[in-house]
Amino acid sequence: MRLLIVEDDPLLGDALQVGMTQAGFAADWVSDGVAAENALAGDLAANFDALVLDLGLPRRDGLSVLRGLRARGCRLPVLILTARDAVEDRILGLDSGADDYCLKPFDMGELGARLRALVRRSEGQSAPVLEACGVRLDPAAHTVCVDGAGVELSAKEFALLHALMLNAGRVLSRSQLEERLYTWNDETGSNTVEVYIHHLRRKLGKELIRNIRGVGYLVRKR
Amino acid sequence: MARRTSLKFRIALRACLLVGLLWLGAAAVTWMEARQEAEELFDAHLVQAASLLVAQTDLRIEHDDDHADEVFEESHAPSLHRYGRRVAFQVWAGRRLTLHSANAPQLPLSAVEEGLSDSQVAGERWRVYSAWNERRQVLVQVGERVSAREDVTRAMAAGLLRPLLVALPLLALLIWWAVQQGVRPLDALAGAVEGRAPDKLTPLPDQELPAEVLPLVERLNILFARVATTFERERRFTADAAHELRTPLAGLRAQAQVARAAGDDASRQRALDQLIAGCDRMAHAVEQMLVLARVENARPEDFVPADLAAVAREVVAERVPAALDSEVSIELEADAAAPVHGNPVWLAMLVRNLVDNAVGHSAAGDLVRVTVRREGDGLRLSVRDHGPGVPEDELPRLGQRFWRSPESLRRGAGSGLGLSIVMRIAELHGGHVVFRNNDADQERGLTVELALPLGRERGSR
Repeated sequence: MRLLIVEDDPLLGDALQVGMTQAGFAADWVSDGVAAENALAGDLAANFDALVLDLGLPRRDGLSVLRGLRARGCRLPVLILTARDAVEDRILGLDSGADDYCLKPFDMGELGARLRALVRRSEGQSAPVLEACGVRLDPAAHTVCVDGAGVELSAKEFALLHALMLNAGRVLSRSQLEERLYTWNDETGSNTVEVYIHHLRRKLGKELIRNIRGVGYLVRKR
Repeated sequence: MARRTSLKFRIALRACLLVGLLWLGAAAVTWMEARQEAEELFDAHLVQAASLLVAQTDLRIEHDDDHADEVFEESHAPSLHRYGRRVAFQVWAGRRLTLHSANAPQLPLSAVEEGLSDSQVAGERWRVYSAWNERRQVLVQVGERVSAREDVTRAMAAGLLRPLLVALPLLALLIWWAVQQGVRPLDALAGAVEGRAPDKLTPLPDQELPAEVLPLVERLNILFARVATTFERERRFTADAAHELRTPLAGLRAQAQVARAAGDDASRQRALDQLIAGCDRMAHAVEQMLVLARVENARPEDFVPADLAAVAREVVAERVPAALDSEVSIELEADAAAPVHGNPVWLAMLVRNLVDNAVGHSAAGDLVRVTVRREGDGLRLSVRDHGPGVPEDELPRLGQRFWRSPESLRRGAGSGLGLSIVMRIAELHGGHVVFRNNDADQERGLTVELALPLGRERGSR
């Protein structure tokens, strides 16, 4: 799952990026409102699964970034992460289009869980554990089982499978998958998605992930 | 508890006493004048009565010498009026009492044989008029009991005093009412002050206030405004500070969690280094908050004559080594003496903050120029750097508490309080600070200008 973190404090921004990567997210970090708008401009917003947004930002306030996003119909899940704790601020944040509101200081584990829940719900899922064709994926515990037996996956393999299972029943293109897998800082090879798909099929069986030639990949519901 | 005397009570009491005294005084004067008049009137009656008697006696003597020692019987001198008993007369021929009223004593009414006199006969005081007939054969004495006269004057006094007894309490009531009406604005004011919540610091209404109370209310309103500003400043500072500490605290906590969850030594080391740097930054921020809190509440009481040029020289000398470490040079251009009235420690802190800012925003090889100059009746200190400057629309935000330029944020430097401290110290010294970009001169960077009022030359009085 790919995150955009907008945080102006360098210490916290760095910790969020590293910590969310540790938690299995692909996390990008910008430190002002204008940079955030640039990163989310047009179709680019679709590259992210969730946005972590600070409110007190230089150049453009977090709330106006959020309103701009919602005004053009973008449904990206947004979690506001702020030091503003007044009830009015929270109400204003949620009513401006945020999906969740988290106060500083916060716990990394909780932030990860909230983001997973946001992404899950935005994909129309409610069960925390994803299941398809006998494969169970637990995003919180970072585990995958096939018919009850645990399977070892690398971080990228897990992220790829997670993306496909979250969108079960929908075809994801190779570039869509790449966007979800890699941050701006990651080097991407030309056929790495194919390589990871190959590994996943080997570990989980060939039926789970279907290759739709010329379009992309699909995990079927049930 | 000592009872406070009420202003209303004091005014009313004084007014009542004064009115009472004036009334009494006026009554006394009136009474005395009236008594005088009455005395004269009574005396005139005595005189008239006596002259009538003398004329009568002369007639008798001419026509009827045989009846010379006739006595007026009571029937001859009827008591015509109740006052009649108080008046008596005697007609003496030589030592013989030839004629007298029934209520006259046997002894002469007065030893004085001519004119008006006061006398005492048989324990009774008399006012007497004595007159001789033309040939000095007969002495007529007409007397009036003094007690009778006193009855009259007493009645007069009572007549004067009786209305006073009725009017004075009535007047006191009226005075009390008038005073009440008069101090109504005061009562309203007291009510307005009393009914206030302790944190309500809006000004009191000053319309329709009497001239005597207006200065008090104006001073009160000034005080309210000052207290409100202080409160607001404190409240905002506390709110800002608490708010601003949350983010670095969140950063520290998050870095600590990252370090704990790190899978390898290198990333753990990195997170721990970040944690320590974050702690140092926060310590600096807390330090700056304390300084700001101190300058916020500082008063210009401990100001002394100082030299801004000397202060700048000291600060630059102190800051040059660190600047040179990052290959930034500092130049000072200062007039010989720049007298200022102020606190040298605060002024040094002001200059240090400006120089540190300038050096912090400079790249290797850049120059920071500090100038101190006398201009008219003021001093101007400017610090000019060749850093990236500040976007024009952000210039007004410089000096706002906890505001940091995107540039400072990127570098992770500063607490966002340095310029607030600078501006507060300038304000404390009666000066102000202006920020402007150097763009007009076709060069990058920011110039900060401090204007201060000129102090007295040192040594001159």
